[in-house]
Order: sequence, then structure tokens, then C-alpha cells
Amino acid sequence: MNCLEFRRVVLEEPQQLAPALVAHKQQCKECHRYYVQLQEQEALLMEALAVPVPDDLAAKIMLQCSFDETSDQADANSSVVPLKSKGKTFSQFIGGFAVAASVMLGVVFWQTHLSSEQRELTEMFVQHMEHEAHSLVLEEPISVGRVGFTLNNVGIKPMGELVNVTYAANCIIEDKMVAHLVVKTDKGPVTILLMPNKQFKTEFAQEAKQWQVALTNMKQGSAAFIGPKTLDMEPIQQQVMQSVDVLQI
Amino acid sequence: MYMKNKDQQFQALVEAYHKPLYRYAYWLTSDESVAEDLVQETFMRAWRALDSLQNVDAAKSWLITILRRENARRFQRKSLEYSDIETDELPDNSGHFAYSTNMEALRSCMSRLSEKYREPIVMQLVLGYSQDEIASALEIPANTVATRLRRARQQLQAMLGGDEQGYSRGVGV
Repeated sequence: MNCLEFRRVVLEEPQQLAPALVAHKQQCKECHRYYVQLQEQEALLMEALAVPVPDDLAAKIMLQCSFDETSDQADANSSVVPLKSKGKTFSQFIGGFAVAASVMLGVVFWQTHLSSEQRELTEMFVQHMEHEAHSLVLEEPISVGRVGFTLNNVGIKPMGELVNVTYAANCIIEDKMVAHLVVKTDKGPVTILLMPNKQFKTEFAQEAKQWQVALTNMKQGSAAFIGPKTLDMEPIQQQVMQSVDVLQI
Repeated sequence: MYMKNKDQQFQALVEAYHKPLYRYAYWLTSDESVAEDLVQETFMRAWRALDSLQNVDAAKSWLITILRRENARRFQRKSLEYSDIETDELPDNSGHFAYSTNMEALRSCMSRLSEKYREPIVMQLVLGYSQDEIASALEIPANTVATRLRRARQQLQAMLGGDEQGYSRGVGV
């Protein structure tokens, strides 16, 4: 093997040297120097290629796939079609049609009466939650002290212990600091945004994507609850509202 | 029980491969957000088709195949058309061999490599692929892969003021 051949081959895969290459390297000082420099180059190149990976990427992937699973289950449920009844009467048909029509009208009525403000708020809360998607995949409950610290930062006094809180942090929503909690339930995580410094006009409950969003008023300010559509959020809302007290600011 | 196993299997795949896949996607696209989208979409498709993965050992190449297809499908592809740099046209930066210690400079040079040279070297160094595996993934002959790997390194050296005498010209490719 000559120097030219050595350098051609090592450039293809510097990490592995065949015995013939090793032998040449040991005999040729110039090629040995060349190889050492190439190894330095490879180390730098590997470091350069290892660009930073977003911290929450894995959490986002898992969350996205859990959404997909939920929607698949929903699709599967909705695709269960009863067998046709051969003896269906005209009156049954009319009755069914009337029910379907009334449902459709109700849906249209409901949709047209949703205020744009409520929709915007719903989207904002869901976006905020999804932006901190990593908070939704945490499993271990955090300490009572951590929850208390987060609440105290926004002027909320814990009155009782909130159970299964897996995340607590202070965030900014519309320029106001809020307490962002996540409570783990059997049907998925519920995000709670306690906003004592932010009072929204009306209470409402809406759905967005696979989520339901409920906004309720506290003694001072508002609280938003974002959870899976399939979950009954009422008990959690009650538990939270009974467990915290807003200090007069 | 089955879903639990599926969940665990999938989570293991995500943990094992999301970082190399992201880095591979980043160097394919030169765009952080597109890379993130690509990786998320890749895993979403993998999740849906997980039942078809019969051999866990093949998971990495399976995911790479999905990601490459997704990348090919991208509608709004941010096309960074860099021209190939012919070795003969490279400036003769004589002097000592010095691969820049500035990571940004090195990354910039990587981005300036044409895709046909950049992708094999990323596969080799980020994914740990052998030349045969790269050839299989890219569906090109193994000797073409070898040539591209060699030229990729030569071009990087040249861009960073490498020793032209000892490398690009001396090798004479």
C-alpha cells in the first residue's frame, strides 16, 4: 500500500483501520501524522454534528401519540354501526330524522353562539398547555412544599392538600403571573391555571381538539382547567377551589 | 396488556432514537423546526405502524426510512441548493492543518456541503452506519458511498483551510 491509497481509504472511514492500513501507518511517519490530524478532525466533526436536541422533544412525541391513540379509540367507538332493522317503519324513520335534525340544529346553534372571545381564550389556554407539553407526561407527584411555593408566588394560600399534582410552576399569561399545575387522573392529565391577577368576563366550558376547557371565577381572578374530553372535570374543579384561597391583593 | 407492551416498546424507541433522528433530520433540512416536525411525524407514523415492526433490531433503519420518506414528502421544503464544490476550484489555503475549533464555523461548513455529500457523513457519524448500511439506506452502490464520504471530508478540510497538499490534491480524486 502506498501513501496515496492509505489517504484515500482512511478518508472514507477514519474510525476503522484495516490491518493493511495499520501496517502502513506504522511504517510511514507522514501518514501517521496525517492520520492523527484526521482523528482530531473527526472528533471535532462529531461534536459539531451533535446539535442540541430540544429538551421536550421526547415528551412531545409521546404526547402526540397519546392523542392519536385517543382519537383512534374515539373513531373505533363511533364506527360501531348497528345492524339495519328490516322492519323499520316510516314513523321510526321520521322520528329518527327529527332527532338528527334537532341535534344538528343544536350543534349549529351552539357553535354560532360561542363567542369569539371564548374561542380565543380556549385556544390560548390549550396552546399554553401544549407549549409546556413536557409537563403532561410526568408521573411522580411533587412535594406539597413545591405546590405551596408556586401558589404563594401568585398570592394564593393553600387551604388543603391537592393530591396527585405532578407539576407546578409559575408562568406568564397575558403579562400576569399565574400558577400552572398539572394533576394526574386515570383518564389523563388535567392542567390547572390559577390566575388570581387576571379576571375574565364570563365563565365558560368549551372543547378544543381533544381537550375540554373550563374557565371559572375565583374569589379574585379566574381559574382555567384543561383536561381530556372524556374526563369529568367537576370533581377536580371542586377539589381545587376548596383547596386554595386567594389572598386579597 | 397488549397496549401496555406496545406503549413500553414505543417509549423505548423514542428514548433510544429521538436524538440521533433529530440530528439527522437537522442536517438533512438545516432547519430546527422542520427537523422537529419531521421527527414528530416520523414517530407518529411509527406508532401507527408499530405492529409491522417484526424485528426490533431493525428499528433504527425502519425509522430512518420513515423519516427520509417524510422528508421527501414535505410540501414546503426549504430548499437550500448548495452547489458542489469541485476540489480543483477550492482556494489554496496553505499553511498548517487546522480544523477550526469554532463549532459554528464547522457547522456552517457542514451546511454548505451538498446534500449528496452531507447525508452519508451524517449517517456515518450521527447514526453510526457502516458504508454498506448507508448504501442500503440511500440505495446507491457502496463504492459511491465511499467516494462521497471521502469527498465530504476533503471539502470540509478545504473549506476550513486544510492542508491541500496532503489531502485533496495529493489524493487526486
